[in-house]
Amino acid sequence: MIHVRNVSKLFRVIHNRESSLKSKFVRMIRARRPERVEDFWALKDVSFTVRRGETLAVLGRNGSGKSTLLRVISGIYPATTGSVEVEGAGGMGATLELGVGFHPDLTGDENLRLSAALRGLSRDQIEELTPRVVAFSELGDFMDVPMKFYSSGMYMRLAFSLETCLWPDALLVDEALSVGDAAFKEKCNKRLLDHKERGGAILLVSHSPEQVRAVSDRACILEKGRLVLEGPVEKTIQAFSIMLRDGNREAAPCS
Amino acid sequence: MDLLRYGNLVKHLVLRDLGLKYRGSIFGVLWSLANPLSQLAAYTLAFKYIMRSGPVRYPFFLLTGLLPWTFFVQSLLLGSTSVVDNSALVKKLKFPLETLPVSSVAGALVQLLIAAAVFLPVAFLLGGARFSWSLLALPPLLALHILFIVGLCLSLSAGTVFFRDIRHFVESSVMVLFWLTPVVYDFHAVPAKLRTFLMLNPMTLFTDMYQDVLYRQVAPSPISAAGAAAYTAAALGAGMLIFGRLKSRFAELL
Repeated sequence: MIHVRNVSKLFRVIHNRESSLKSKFVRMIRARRPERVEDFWALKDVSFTVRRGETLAVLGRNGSGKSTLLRVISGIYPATTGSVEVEGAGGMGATLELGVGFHPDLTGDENLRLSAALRGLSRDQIEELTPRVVAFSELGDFMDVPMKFYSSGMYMRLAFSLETCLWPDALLVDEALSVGDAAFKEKCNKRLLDHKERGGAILLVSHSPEQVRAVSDRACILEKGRLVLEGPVEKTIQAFSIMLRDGNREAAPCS
Repeated sequence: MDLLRYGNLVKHLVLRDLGLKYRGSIFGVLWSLANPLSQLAAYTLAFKYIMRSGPVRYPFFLLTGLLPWTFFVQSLLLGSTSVVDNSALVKKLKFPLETLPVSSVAGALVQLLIAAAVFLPVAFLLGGARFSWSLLALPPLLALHILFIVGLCLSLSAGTVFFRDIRHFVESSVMVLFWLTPVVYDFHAVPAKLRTFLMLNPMTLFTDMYQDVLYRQVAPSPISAAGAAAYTAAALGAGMLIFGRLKSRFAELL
């Protein structure tokens, strides 16, 4: 279960900020280019619950706060106000991007072990995980090859296999998983459905209606950091496409 | 995350860093011996043969100060940029961020241990030193030194996220600090007035103790030990406080 209660996130956007001491000193002497601090609420009073065996999709335009929401829930950003609570074995897994921490000069095996250690797996857990990932990715012969020699397809296969083998009960999925060809997308969706059937709670952030239809039970719309609508998948997708159309009309009055 | 997993993660980060550093080179990790060896040759030539000064058994004396100094500098240079250098991880994964500066120090420690394992036995044989009970003070001394350096690296790595100047500040300060640390000269040959000044430098205290234990083969001086312990407590306390306060903002600022 994922509980999000009244979460808000404030960013201090500092214009003209240079991160050096010199500019601080220069500014103390003459305030030629003053720092302008602007408050920006990336999330405002967001609340929802994702139950076990359920997928909630979050739809939203670019810059609506989707990625910030995932980062706050996964604990990478602290929430300014509100609270996040996660229940279930294995804590929380965030798939913000496939292959985070992979280094091209390291072999597939080395990258696999490093990524697993970064996710907090112990030595024994890594020993247990490695053969499963290798089997799923079908890259057995290439595990001792530096990943810079992998094709992009092989790279994605290893990253995705690792990701899905690490999935804990509560799962956050970014659009990252919707890259690749049609077959790969279908494989992703199937893994998500399997995970749900085993009682996992999934929060899927997407702006792809097909993916949302394929795996979600409910959907909500995030707009300018607020949850503006929550409801059945089809209805929410329709509302979202109307919102996109109106938004585009505003943005491009000439057409 | 418990300590075991934390240690496992540090191990993998060290393996990554050392592996990448020497990957594709023929001599690999043996290169970590080249740096102390070339310095040893250069300073011996300059001080023993050109300036005709320095204590007896000069190369051995030099080695006992040079190895811990190299450990200190390498840790600081890598440690201060450890968070910034790993921004891709910090922004996208939730993991204990302390492991980044800690693994920089651990990597430098591995290189120190390799160099010590090769050079110290040779130096003991050629330098005419024997087994002495003072060697028992080496493990606690090294442990204290590690904690001191970890403390510094915690503060510096957190500070570098906010001010990139710190990297350059560290680079130029260690150059000056080297000559204010009795590595190439004997602390006890320094005029008394200057000695008090030099003792403000924590690395002076550590270097003096390493030389006591390994070169002079006496128990480390209690004044140095007390001073080093105080500096370590301060560095570690400040490091944990600063890093702990600032770490939640790293992902937003990188």
